[in-house]
Amino acid sequence: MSGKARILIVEDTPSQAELLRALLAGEGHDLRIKDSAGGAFELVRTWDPDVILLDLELPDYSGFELMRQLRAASINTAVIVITANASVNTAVEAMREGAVDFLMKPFNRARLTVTLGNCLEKRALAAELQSIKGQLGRDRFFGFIGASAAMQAVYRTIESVATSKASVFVTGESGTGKELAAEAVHRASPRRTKPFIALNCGAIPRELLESEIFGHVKGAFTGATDNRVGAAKSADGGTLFLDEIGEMPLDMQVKLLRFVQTGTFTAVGGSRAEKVDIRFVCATNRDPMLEVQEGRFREDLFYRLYVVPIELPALRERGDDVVLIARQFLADFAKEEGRRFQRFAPDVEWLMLSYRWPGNVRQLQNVIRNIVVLHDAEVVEVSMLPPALRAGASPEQLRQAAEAAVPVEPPPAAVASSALPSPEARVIPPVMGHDDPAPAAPARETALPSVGAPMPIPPPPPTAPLPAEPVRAADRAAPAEIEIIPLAEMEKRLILAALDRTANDVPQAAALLRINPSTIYRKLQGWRGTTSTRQA
Amino acid sequence: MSDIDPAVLEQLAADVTAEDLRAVISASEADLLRTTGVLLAAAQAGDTATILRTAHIIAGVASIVGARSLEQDVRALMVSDATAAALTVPDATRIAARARAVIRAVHDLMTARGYDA
Repeated sequence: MSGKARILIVEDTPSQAELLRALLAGEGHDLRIKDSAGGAFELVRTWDPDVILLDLELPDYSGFELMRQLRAASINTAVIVITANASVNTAVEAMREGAVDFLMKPFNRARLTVTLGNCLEKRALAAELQSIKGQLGRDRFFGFIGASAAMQAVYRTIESVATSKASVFVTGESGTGKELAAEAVHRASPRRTKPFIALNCGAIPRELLESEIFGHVKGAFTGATDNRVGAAKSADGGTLFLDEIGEMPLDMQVKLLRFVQTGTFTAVGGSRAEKVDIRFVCATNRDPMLEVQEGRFREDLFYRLYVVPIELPALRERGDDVVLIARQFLADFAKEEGRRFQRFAPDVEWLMLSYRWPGNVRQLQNVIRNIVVLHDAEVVEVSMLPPALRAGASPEQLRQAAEAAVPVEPPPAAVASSALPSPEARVIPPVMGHDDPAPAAPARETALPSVGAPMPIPPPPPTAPLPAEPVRAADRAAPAEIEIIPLAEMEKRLILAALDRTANDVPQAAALLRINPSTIYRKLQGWRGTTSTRQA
Repeated sequence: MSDIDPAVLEQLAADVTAEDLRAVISASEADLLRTTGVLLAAAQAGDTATILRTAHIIAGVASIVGARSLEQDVRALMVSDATAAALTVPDATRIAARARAVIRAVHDLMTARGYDA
C-alpha cells in the first residue's frame, strides 16, 4: 500500500467500526471514525481525508445521500462503499453516486488493504496527472503569455536550468522576449530574492561599458567625480543579464572572460580585486556561432557563456499565442488609457494570426497600443488596424472571416505524438481559394518597421508558404524537372511531406511551411472527409 | 451442529492482534444482543423499516464471527419490504435465541483455539 493516508471510517455499528480499525491498524494510516453521515460531512470539510470507508446504512441519512452532499460541495474525497447488501442495484447505485470501489461484508484484511491501496494509488496518479497537465497546458509562465508547444518547451527548459548556476544564453529575433526569459530564469531560481541586474551592451557607449559593468573609483577618468558601483557588484548573489552581448567590443570581451572565469573584477581605476557570486544570463538577436566564426565574438568567451541555450521562437511560430497576447495587451492598455475595448472582431484575430510579425511581440504590443490610443470602442475592428495588417486579406475574405467565429483555444497538450493528431475542435478561418490570383512577391524587409509607416506587403493568409527572401526571377520559372500538377495536390504533398519529416508534429511542420498550424489541422480534417485520409 | 464457521474466526485471528480480536468479538456480541432486541421490538410493533435496517446490521455482525445460519436468517428478511413485514414475533424470538447461541459458540471456539488467552 502507498504511504500514510487520512482514512475516515463512517460506520455506526460498533463491531464493524472496531473491525475496520483493527484490520487497518499497523498500516500506518491516520484513522478517524464517525457514526453518522452529518458528523462525517463536517469532519470531511475540516480534516480533508484521502479516503472514506462508508457504510450505507447510517442513523441520520444514507451513505448515498452523504455522497451526493460531498459532490455538491465539490469535495472529491475518494469513497469506498462498505455494505452487507450484496445486490447489484446497490453496487451500481454506489458507483453512479461516485464511489471508487465497493466492499461487501464480510471481507478480510487482504481484501480491504488491496482495495484501499488501489484507491490511494489511483488518487496519487490522478494528482500527478493533474500536475503534469497543468504544466503542459500553461498559458502563463512568469512574464510570458503563451500556450503553444514551442513556448511549453521554453518554459520546461527555464525550469530545468533555473536551479543550477550554469550560464544561460538566450537567442531569438528582436522582440521575442529575451529579457523576459532572463527574468524568468532568475525568478525561478534560488537567487530570486537577490538582485537581477540587466545591462544592454548595445545601448552603452563603449568607453563607458567597463565602468558600467565593473564600476569605477573617483578620478578614474574625466567625469568620474565619485566612486560608482558597477553591475557586477550590484548583482552579487543574484543574476547579471547581459543583453545584446554581441555588441560588446572585443577588448571588453577579454575582461568579461576573466570575470566569468574567476568571479573577480577590479573597478576602473581601482587596485583591489573583488570577488562576487554571479549567475550569468546573456542574450543576442544575432547568430552567436556566426559572430564567433567571423571573429566578432571571442570563441573562449562564447563557450563560457553558451552553456544552456534557450532559443525563443518568433511570434509567427507560436500559433494562437498571438491572439492570447493581443487580448492581454488590449485589456492592459484599455485599462491604462480608460478605453472601452473588450475584444477583437473575428476578422481582426484572423488577420493577426495570418500576419508575419517581423517585430514579434514588441511589434504586436505597439500595434495594440496604437489602436487603443487612437480609438475607443468595445470591439477592435479591421478599420482600426494599421495598413499592413489590413492589406493581407481581400474584402471577400474579410466578409467570410467575419461570418466565421474564430474562438482561440490553447493547443492540445500532447501535440507531438506518433499518431496523426486530430484537428483541433474549433472553427477554422476560410482558406484563400485556389482560384484567387497569385499574391505579389513580398518586398524585402529591412529595418524593423514602426506602426503607421509604410510596411512591406504582408504575405497572403495561411495557405501559401511565406518565403523568407524575396521571390527571385529564377525561382518563378518552373524548371523542367518539376512536375506540374494541380496546386491543391501539390499543397497536399507538401503538407504531408512536412508531417513526415517532423514525425507528425503539426506545429513543427507548420513552422517549416511558414503557415499557421490551424491550416494543417483544417486541411487534415478536410482530407479525412474524402478517401485520401492519412494514417499514422 | 455448530452455527459458527471456524474458518472465519481463524482468518480474523490471523488478520488482527490478539487484543484487537478480543475487542472485535466483544463488540460483536454486544451488537448481536442489542440488535436482536431491537428486531424483536420492531416485529412486535410491525415496524417494517426498522426490521429491514436492523436485519441489515445483524447480517453484517453475524458475518464478522462466521455465524452463517444467523446471517442467512436475517438476509431472508432483507429481500423486500414484504418479507420484512412478514416477520412474526415468534420468528424474531427465534432469531434472538440463535444469536445467543452464536455468542456461546464463539466463546467456546475462542477458548478451544486459545484466542481468549
